[in-house]
Amino acid sequence: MADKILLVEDDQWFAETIAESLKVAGYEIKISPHAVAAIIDIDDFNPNIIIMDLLLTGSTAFSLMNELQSHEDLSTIPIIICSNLSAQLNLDDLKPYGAKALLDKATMTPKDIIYEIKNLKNE
Amino acid sequence: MDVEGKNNVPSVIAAAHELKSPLSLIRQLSLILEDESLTADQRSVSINRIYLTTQKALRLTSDLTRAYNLNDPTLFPLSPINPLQVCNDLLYDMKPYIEAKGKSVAFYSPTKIPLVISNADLLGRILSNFLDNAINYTFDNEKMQLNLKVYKKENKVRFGLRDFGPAIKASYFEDIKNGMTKNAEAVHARPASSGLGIYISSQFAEIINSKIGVIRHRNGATFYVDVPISSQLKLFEI
Repeated sequence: MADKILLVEDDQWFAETIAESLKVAGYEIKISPHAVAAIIDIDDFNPNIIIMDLLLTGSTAFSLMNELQSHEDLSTIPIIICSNLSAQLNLDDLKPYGAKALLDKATMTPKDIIYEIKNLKNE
Repeated sequence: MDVEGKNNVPSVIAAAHELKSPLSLIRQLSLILEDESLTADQRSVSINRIYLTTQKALRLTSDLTRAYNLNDPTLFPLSPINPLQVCNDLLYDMKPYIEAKGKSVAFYSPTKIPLVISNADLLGRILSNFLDNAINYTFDNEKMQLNLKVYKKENKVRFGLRDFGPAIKASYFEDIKNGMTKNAEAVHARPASSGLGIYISSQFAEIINSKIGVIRHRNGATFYVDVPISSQLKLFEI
């Protein structure tokens, strides 16, 4: 059974580009364009992994991650942060929010995302 | 809510962040083109998106260049302008981008509208920044609105762009102005953007004797620019 990945990204074209690469790699993908949609989609889609941008339309990813951490069953879903702000961030600061990996949109490739996903599976 | 722009160069960090977004996207789209399994249609869509995103990035760099030159107002002469023509030009130029994003715009204007005194280039840039903003923040299945309204007593025409998305904070313009003068923490502005386009628009507006502002709605915002009516050619109302 394919891993289910929820991609929380408000840039529609960026989301579709990444989603296509992940689908070719065999993952089942759902795109949530903002935090409110993500909360609903998490309940409906039951992802194994969440890939999330930090700056989202309507509210930042931090409010979404806080929401997830406040639910026992949702707090265990690993999160990969994928953002243009990554160079200014420290993964250790994000770990309390459930983040397991940090990728920079400006330098990452689809293979980097797949590598991080496989790393999470090996943990 | 009105704002008066200050002739300050936007922070380098804000400009870098705004440019990083489209460039990251162009890079990802280019990487996808290496995939030999892409169909001709998928390749065509990716190429079109690269083209449109490049245009967006170039609009920003042009705006930044103009913002840097605002100290010399003679570069931006004012003249009587037809508001309808400005709006039609905007919608024509942005049509490919709007359609590629799966969005649409309704245009509302009074039957008769006076000429305004402005600079067509800067006014067009203000409106294209509003439209870029609206495209980002309008949820799917919602239609943006471009509105022209005449306020004869106040001697102005209002160009308004309504988006249907998340509400914005009351301190929106304050946050943007504060963000532009420091190393901007983009999360404190309207999410997903540093507000650079709106900030530059406020500077452009000041040079052309106009004012930009925003009307908050529960389901979005209307960004507007108020432009003075031309008194010279009142007999020639369109």
